[in-house]
Amino acid sequence: MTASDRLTRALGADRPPERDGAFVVAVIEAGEHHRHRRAIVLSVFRAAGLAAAAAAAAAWAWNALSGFALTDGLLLAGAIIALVLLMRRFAAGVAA
Amino acid sequence: MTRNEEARLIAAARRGDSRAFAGLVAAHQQAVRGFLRRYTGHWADADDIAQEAFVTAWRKLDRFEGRAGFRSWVCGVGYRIARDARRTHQRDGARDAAWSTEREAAGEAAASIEDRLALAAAMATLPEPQRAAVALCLGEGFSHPEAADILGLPLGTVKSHVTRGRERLLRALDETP
Repeated sequence: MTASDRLTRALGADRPPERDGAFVVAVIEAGEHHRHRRAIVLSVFRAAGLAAAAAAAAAWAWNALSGFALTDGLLLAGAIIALVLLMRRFAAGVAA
Repeated sequence: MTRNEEARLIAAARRGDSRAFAGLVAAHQQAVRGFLRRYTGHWADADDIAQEAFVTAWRKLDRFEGRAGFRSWVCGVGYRIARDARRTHQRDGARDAAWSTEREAAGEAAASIEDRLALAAAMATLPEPQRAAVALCLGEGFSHPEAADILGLPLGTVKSHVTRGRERLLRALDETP
């Protein structure tokens, strides 16, 4: 046998099998695992983003609404108190 | 696998069809693993890298332009992973032994142990790109242009690597009784 033949045989000796279902399954499982993990990470980021957006909107709304209630409420309350005091004085003056 | 069939499976795999991708892996695993086994010199590491290469290829399938065949593309992905990661020293003896037992049980007509050892030793002494070129062209039957595409080298360089590498391997076998 020539050295060239020996080289060809030696090179071909350690080839993987032509069909290897176990390897194929391992690749698909690893790929699916990666995709699943990526989907989880994306969904966590998406949920965190939505939560942050909702929190920001709620904070904005709370601030806007409570700011409105605070100023207008204070003015309204002050106006009512002033009106009541004025009417009481007016009533007291009339009575006097 | 014909070019049309491969294109159909790639298109389906791009749409997320894992069965289609399994078909591609089944068709090309032997060439990719065979190349990486020759290139790294370690079967267990080579199989791990091959698996990583296929998973990476699946993730990045949108980037596959179809200029070269799918097999060449995955070999290129595997080559870069093997070269960059330098994981060739982390040998998993248990799995190697299991694979050898499997081979012996299958009754493959193997070359002599002496020739295989001499070849492995000689392959390990080849410079890095020469070893990859020899593993692709002599080990797995890739054409010179395919190997040039995979390795990112000029065609003439690949031809020269293969010729010189072959001479060195033949010399090593000649010195083996």
